[in-house]
Amino acid sequence: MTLSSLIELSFWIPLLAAGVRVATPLVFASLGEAVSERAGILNVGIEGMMALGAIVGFLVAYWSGHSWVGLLAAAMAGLVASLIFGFLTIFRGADQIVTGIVMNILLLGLASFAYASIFSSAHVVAQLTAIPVFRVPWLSDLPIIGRPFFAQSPIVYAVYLLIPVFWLLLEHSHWGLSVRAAGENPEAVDSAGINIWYLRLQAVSIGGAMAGLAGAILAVVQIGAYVDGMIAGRGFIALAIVVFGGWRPWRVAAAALLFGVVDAFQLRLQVSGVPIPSPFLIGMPYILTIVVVAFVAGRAGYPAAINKPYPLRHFAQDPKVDTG
Amino acid sequence: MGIKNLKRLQTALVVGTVSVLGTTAGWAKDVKVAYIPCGQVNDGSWSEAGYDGVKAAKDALAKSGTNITIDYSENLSPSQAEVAARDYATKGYQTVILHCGTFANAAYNAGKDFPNTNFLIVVAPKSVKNVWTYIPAMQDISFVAGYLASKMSKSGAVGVVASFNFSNITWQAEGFRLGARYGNPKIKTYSNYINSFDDAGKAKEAAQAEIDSGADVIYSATDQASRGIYAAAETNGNFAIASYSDQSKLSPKTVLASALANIPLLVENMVTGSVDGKLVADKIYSVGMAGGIGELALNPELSKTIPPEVAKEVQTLMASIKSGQIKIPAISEPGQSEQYDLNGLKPK
Repeated sequence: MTLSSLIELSFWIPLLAAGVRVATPLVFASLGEAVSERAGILNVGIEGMMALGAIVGFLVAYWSGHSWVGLLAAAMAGLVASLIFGFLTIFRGADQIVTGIVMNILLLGLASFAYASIFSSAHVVAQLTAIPVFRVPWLSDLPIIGRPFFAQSPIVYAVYLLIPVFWLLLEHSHWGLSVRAAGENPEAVDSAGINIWYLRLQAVSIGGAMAGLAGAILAVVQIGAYVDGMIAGRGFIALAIVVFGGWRPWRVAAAALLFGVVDAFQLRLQVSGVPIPSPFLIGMPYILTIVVVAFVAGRAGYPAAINKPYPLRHFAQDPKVDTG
Repeated sequence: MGIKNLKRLQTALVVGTVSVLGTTAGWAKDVKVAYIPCGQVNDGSWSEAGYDGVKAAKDALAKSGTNITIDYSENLSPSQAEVAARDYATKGYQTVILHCGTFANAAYNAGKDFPNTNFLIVVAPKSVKNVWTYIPAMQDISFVAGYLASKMSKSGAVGVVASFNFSNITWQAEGFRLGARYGNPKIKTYSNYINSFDDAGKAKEAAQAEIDSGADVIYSATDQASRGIYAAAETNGNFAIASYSDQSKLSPKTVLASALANIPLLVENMVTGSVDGKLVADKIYSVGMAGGIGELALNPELSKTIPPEVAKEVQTLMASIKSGQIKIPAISEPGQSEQYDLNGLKPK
């Protein structure tokens, strides 16, 4: 490949396809995180929850022989981990950042330990057959967008369904209204007689399940193997993408796609042999994320009640916690 | 320390022969050796390979009457590794092996303060006094891998996915590209660096980027992330060539061959050399195929796909590299292999 091929469609179509693949796990993780943050809970533990999802998803898929069962188990594992996180931060009022970091250390270590004790010592070759690509009839024949968007693993089509579902759920449903209020003005939600603790826990558990799924997509769908350290910071990137996308599902998905395309682009620039040092190229998607977050986040701002434990008024059993 | 030991050995032999004449050679030397790898000694990969080397050195030295005790410390950060290395030196360990690329400063710092202990550090810039670096010069076997790849490529393009643009990993990637050009001067060669040993997802996309540009044989110069390279090769029906250890079982239909590093042999030679006091001061032990480092393990399931004349050419090439007739350069700038004059590689 030469630099001149940069202007050809045969360069851009595979690039877009690669961007969609790179973005897929990120969209899962960041959509879930957006819901959690909208409710006022910043879960920085999603990196660890993705690792947990990767190992659980891989093990269950390996033992059961069904990739989809593995994905389901990964979602459950992420959900359980997020319930622990939610219990500590919502019910016990623990600091969200500190608890999230602790969850990361715990879960990343747990995933390594589980894999090492099950496989490494026995030198077993454990791998799955990756879920094959499914070409959507007619749509995959569309010019330009056909191949990148409709000749992908079926999990990508799940993303197309999930984005509008999250959009409706978060921005056009009664539940979503309460969730958004919980993140901006929890007193109002509380006054309306809604149990804000359980509402936040629901939002956090959606985030955890989505993070678990995101990790399993990497291990089960894209690689067909678990590799220690394979999450490689994707959870943190998802956190940035949520800010980048302004906590709105469509924009979050678009931000993830942009990140994916830029990452795929830098890999292709390296192949083209441009005389730019590889460390700069490798850093491109991260530099882009930092720049965009610096400019966009400055204006958008986090939900007002983020990392502020809410002392439950109407449902509190101990009147002393009532700050009223 | 090594020379001191030799002198002690001489004295012991003389005293032994004179005083206990006729009895069995009651002399045995006890030496303590410490091993500090990146990970765990049973990781089935890098750290275990080094540990196997230390154990092999123990067996080899036992035959010459030297008894080695091995201790190890696992999973340390570079600063913890330095503390551990100093601790071992304080306790009178004769040789401390730091088998992790990030421990270079730990080795140099500890080496300064403990001149009577030998420190062996893998892949570092220099050897000074009692600190020796040992480097698997993988460009030799990578050159052979590149040669094989160029002969197996139908598309006329091959690629390498490497972990870090750093020292001997770049030598490895560029060695592959140069070898491919040596096999077919018209071939296109690509390289990608992913800045990770274990990001399989990125490795897969890097391999896919090369495949999208026409490459049909992909060489892995990364560690566990290579699973992603095999996944990409499987999806597209291409060949891959593995590195460091035999990985044909990980992807039997794609891994054509594995470029072995023979890390155990390298470590064994360094440890025996250190214990016997035979290491040359300030010498960098960058060992390639001439020193037994670098071997090609063919995947038995795919070896039939290699035409017999190609297999023969590969054997001839390996023999010329081993004998030193062909010297493979260590190229540390990505892409420079493209400018390298192939005439300089002709067997002398």
